[in-house]
Amino acid sequence: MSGSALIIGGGIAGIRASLDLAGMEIPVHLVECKPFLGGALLQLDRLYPTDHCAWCPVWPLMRHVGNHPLITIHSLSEVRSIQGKAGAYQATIGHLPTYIRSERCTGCGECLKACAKRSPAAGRGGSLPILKPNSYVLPKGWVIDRNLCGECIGCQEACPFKAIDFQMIEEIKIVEISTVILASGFDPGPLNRLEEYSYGAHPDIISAMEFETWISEWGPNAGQVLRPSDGQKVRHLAFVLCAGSRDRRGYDYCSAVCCMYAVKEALWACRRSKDLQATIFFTDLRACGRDFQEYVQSAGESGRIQFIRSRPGRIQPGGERGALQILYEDTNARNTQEMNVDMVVLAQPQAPPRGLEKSTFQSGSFACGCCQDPADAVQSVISASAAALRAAETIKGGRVT
Amino acid sequence: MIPQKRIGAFLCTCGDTLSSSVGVEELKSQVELLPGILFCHVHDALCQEEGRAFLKEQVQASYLEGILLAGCSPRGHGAIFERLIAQWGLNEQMLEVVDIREGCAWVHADQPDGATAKAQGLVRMGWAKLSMKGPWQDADLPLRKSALIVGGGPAGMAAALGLAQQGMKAHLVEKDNMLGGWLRRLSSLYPSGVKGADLLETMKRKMEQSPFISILLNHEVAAVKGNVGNFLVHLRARAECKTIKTGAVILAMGAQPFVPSGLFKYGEVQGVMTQEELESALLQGQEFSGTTVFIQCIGARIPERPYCSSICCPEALKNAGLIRTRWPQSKVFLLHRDVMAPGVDLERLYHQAMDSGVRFLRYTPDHLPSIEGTGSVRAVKVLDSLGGREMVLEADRVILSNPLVANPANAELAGMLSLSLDGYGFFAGRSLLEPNQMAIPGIYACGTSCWPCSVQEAITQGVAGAGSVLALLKAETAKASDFGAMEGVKGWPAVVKESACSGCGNCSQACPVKSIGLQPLNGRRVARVNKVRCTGCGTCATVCSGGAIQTPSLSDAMATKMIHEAFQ
Repeated sequence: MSGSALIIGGGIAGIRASLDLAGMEIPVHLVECKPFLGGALLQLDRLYPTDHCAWCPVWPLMRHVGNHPLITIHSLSEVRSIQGKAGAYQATIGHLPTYIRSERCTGCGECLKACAKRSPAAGRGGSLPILKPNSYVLPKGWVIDRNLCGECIGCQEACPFKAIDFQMIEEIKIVEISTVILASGFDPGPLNRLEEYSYGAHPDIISAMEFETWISEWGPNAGQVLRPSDGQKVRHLAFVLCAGSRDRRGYDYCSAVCCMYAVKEALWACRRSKDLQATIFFTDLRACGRDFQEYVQSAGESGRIQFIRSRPGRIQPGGERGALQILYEDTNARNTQEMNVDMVVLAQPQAPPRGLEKSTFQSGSFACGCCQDPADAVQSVISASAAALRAAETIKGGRVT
Repeated sequence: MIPQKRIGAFLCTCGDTLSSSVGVEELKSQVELLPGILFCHVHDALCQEEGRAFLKEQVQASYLEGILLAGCSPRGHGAIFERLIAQWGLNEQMLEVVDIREGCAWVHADQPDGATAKAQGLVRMGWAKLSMKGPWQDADLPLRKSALIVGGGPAGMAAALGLAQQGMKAHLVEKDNMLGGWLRRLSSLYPSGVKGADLLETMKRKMEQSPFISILLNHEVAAVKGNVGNFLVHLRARAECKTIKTGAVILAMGAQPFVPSGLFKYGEVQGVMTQEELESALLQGQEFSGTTVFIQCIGARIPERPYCSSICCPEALKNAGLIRTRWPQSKVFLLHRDVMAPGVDLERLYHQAMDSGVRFLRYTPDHLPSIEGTGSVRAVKVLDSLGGREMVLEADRVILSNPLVANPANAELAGMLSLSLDGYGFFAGRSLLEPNQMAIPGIYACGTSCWPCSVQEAITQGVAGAGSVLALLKAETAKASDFGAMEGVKGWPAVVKESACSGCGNCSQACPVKSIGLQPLNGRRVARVNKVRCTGCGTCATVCSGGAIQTPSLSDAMATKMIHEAFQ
């Protein structure tokens, strides 16, 4: 029995669980499939209801993870298999190649200047093949995404430290562990199943997760609220809640966080664009946490955010000046209505992460965060601390449940 | 005059990528002239293996006492260099990293003259600071291996069991004469359907069997002193008072139901009861045939109490479904404003209630339902917002879903511990993502002391709280600096120059973490800093009129000298 823990997922839940276990003097292997820790929070703009920047509360914790001698971070890595018997497993972790030797890279950025794909034509969202960690994230290593790379090897020639190595291959590591915590987060639920909402068929109908980046100061529009189709300022923005959740065709449960993030996104869109009006179509406005009702109230009192209790039946192009038409039932007037808007944001469900159903669940493993149940960041850290203690009990208590 | 230290300066050009905007040679010749600087070396990559070896060699060969390092931002490699120099036997605070890359060369790439001048200024400021720094003396902090838990409800019991399982002593203080809290009053728990009494029995049995748990019934907390690792908790009881020494404190006093006096004829007519009264009636086996009407948001989501108590909807869904299932002839209506059933389990509870035949009607706050009948309930009048019609529901009884409100004990404990509460009297975490950790290190709050939550969530929070305490107290000792405002960022505790202190108490009032007290010294009062609580934020220094209290990491004198150097 090695007495170590394997944590799958380096989002806020995985980070919290790692810190707690390491605090209890249990060595931790933290596996994250992306190049950097942080998970969904790295893609978020703000946090409700405090309007914090989504990274600010995370990076001190991340720093602590980076500095802790008992935590080994396996970034850009996947768990290939977990074998063995209760309390004594061998986990096989595949480290995907970063194509940049971290021990040589100084982060000088010469490679980025030489990259042929660096031109603005690189596409919407501006994804570059060379990923540069910003000053908050961990680990600090730069990464080349071969899927986006044109293989021009300009970077390799430009690097003053000969850090770029396209010969790198996946490295396999086998670690001995006693317990597993699954903190792999959620997958944004598919929206193309909902034919009536035309997601994918029109550029101005986007998902809430995409919208977070779209309006953020650090996003492609530097904090402006623009229509994806023509780059014009959005004047009327609509949010459709329960787009796929509470729907017997797909996910019949409530995703728990959409009401609040839609209100947050509407508030921030209004803050960033002076003449923007927003409409939120909701089923039940589930705002149960501390200061949530007040947050929703402040949105209503702004006079620019309208709440309509209805689930639209259809969203289609066809309005004036490229507007989208929303057909819905007004449950107060009890008739059907049409509304023309510039852009629609669909609040998609928090779906279980891919691979969760087939992962070999062994005894002595625990789940936390939103791979277990839809949850926001606060609920995730609570369940992570609880899972950490349960995992520690299997090691220190000598009891494997 | 401050004695000069042996300082070595290193300019890192990051693979010569800085030299296009910053004149490195000019900078080097400037730095070499600064007093106390023994040498200035230019290197192209100190962070690389060869660079680190070079740094080590230079530090050891010249017996350096301070290192001035100009290169990339301290956010990049600062922590790594700090660790390295500590390994080489230097005090880690004697490293000053000056950012001439991100904050200088990169942002002023098109203005080489300006960038060079700025780099010179930045380096001089770093030198000024470093030359006035003293080595940091961290305080060792013994950690007592035990926790005291206030409140014997589900959260408190879960915390005690979690600690005991790991062999840590837990003192559980309960003001009542028995354990259980809400578990004694709830018929069944959502979403599991487990009976409250059964869960209580299981938890109680485990607690009584554990050698690590001591249960103190009929006790209340009278005062708390000390700091993380070493709290002294004075307990009050009818028979005897006690003092317990403990490393951490978990607050789990629970919450109280709001009593809807004067609302919806509660207390005026028979058959109007609150959710808890329904729970105890169900526990006593009372029959609920006939028509039951639930009304949600009684005293919640109103201007005086705008919050949603989050447990009333699921509880009503559970009880409404239960009545319909147990008494199939009964009729059950549930009048709500929004059905708050977030997540997988609660939405399922909602579906189950609908499938069992509970009828849901939505009302709006501008047309509140009203109760008809004198002496006893006859009917409930409600404007169904979806159908647009006023309906009169003949009813045998009405269940008012009332919110949880903060326990007055919260305010009492908050006063003793110098913690602040939210606007409704609940405990709030020190940051959004540390919901159970209070602003004072070593103090945690769990369950409905923090915010209304289900028994299941309270237990999760109790376990999480226990986990946090274990992670905190596992090591033999800690360093005072481990408890800075931001984890992992060291802050030097404030230092008081006693001869200059007038004892005015401004600092003590201003301190956001209540780390400063006034203590007698030779017939007068002087400020004394609790080094563990102090986060080194410096607020005290700004309000001290005599300059008697300073944060040594950046004193007034250092800041003045740095500004002087910047504008030289």
